[in-house]
Amino acid sequence: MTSPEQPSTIQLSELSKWFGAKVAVSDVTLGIGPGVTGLLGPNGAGKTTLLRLITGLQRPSSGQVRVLGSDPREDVDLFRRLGMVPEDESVYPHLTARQFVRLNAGLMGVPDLEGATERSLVTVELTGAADRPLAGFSKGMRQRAKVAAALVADPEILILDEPLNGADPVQRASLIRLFVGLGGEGRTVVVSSHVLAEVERMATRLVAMVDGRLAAVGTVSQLREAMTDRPRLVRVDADRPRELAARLMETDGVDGIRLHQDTIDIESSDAVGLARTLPRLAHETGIGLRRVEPTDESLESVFRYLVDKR
Amino acid sequence: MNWTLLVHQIRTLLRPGRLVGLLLLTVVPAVILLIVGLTEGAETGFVAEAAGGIGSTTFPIAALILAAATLRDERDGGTLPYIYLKPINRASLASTSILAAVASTGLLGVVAALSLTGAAAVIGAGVGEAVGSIPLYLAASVGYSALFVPLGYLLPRVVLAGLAYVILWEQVVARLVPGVANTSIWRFALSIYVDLVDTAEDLAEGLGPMAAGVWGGVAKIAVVALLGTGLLTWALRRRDAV
Repeated sequence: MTSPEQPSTIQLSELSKWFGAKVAVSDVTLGIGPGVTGLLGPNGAGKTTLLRLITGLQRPSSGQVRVLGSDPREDVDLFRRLGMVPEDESVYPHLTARQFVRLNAGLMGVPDLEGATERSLVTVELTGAADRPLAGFSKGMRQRAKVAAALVADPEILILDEPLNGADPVQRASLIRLFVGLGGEGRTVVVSSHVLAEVERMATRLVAMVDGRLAAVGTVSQLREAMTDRPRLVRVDADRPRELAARLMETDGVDGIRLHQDTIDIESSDAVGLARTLPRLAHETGIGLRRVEPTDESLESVFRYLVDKR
Repeated sequence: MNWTLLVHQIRTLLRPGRLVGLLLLTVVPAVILLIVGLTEGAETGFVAEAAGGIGSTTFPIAALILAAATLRDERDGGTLPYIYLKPINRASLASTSILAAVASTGLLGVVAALSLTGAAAVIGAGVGEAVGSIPLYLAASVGYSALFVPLGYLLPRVVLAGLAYVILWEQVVARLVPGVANTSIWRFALSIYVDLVDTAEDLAEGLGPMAAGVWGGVAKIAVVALLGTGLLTWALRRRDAV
């Protein structure tokens, strides 16, 4: 995750966390350096737990967390350099956005409370609504208030747990620009999401998780490549499935076929080739294709494949 | 102690909706004193009985609700990270949280004592006994805050556990088993009141084997405060915050 000249600001070593019999994070070893790192995975993959372990909100069951060389469970001074946007929507409903950001500045020990608060509100474009109670804010506006609170002490490390949840497209674009900018300034920004397209827009490096384990670590293009290489399962609803299956067995790139009543499941390691072959075969044989659909395109299945591959 | 956190916690605890209900609970002894005093006349020791007897149920419940909410509301509401992920050492976070609860419950205690004073003045009973309940309620505020703030952080169903303590343990078990009185925060505070107010001698029976005495009561409450702060500091350091 980090290049040789860029030391890790966050270092996780054999990190695990379990709750009773449930393993939330399993044996994660990872270094994260400056820039925007996307933490990607389906719901329940362990992203939130991993971020909580990084910030010290939760204690590892085993393994070690080091942030800027310190253990976040032991060194509270580390929090002068770290900001977090938690996944929870909760904020103090009775406070205005300005009071909320100022409270965070005060708790951080920021010397220029008013100045820092104002700058933070300007950064997230919330000055117009700054004096309204948070109770009346939309989900997206609350997210921006939370980001402003996390930024108020100008942290070197920013941990953002699903920060785009509930934000409208304009707010999303604006927050993504902000995170990219912060990463560009040399800060370590870790953003979690279950939406690949979203993370791709801001992160240069990705960490994919599933079932608490690391599924893939690398640049966006490396992850894309790994995902493209995996075998795909395609279900075809055809009027003469047996004949189509026989013809397909003679085709390169088809690794296996399962015949059902009216459909066939094709396992292929060359999805692009299959997409060209199928219509050609149908045309040549006069077999009618009623439906062609991938059956395992969810992000979760992609990540499961990557975990098995590791 | 962290001043910003203290102000924030007191403001959050004393939100109008919760405060109104707790104030109503807190003034119940004064209301009963007023009603009985106006209908049956004031008898010696009745003000003390209202403060230390009826108040032994109403005030601990009010203190429980307020003190337990100090960190439990933040945990349940998902706002604890805004406090926890700050450069505030855990001992300071613990002592500030308990102090915020003491200030808030202490305010209720002062209201309880002043409402008793007002009721005593109206019925022409012992105003001194009512004013003397201020140290009783303040000592109880410290003791209950030191107990219920850590428990509120640690236990999701702290109000149920707290009710079991203030009603079953302190009111029933401690009466039946004399030695148990030594684990009752209310009795620690009451021992101060009984020593300060002459007409509170009927309440002395409730102390069980515990002797009445201002400094003894203060010392026991101080020990509870230290233990509570220690427990909360440990919990903040060792237990998951979310």
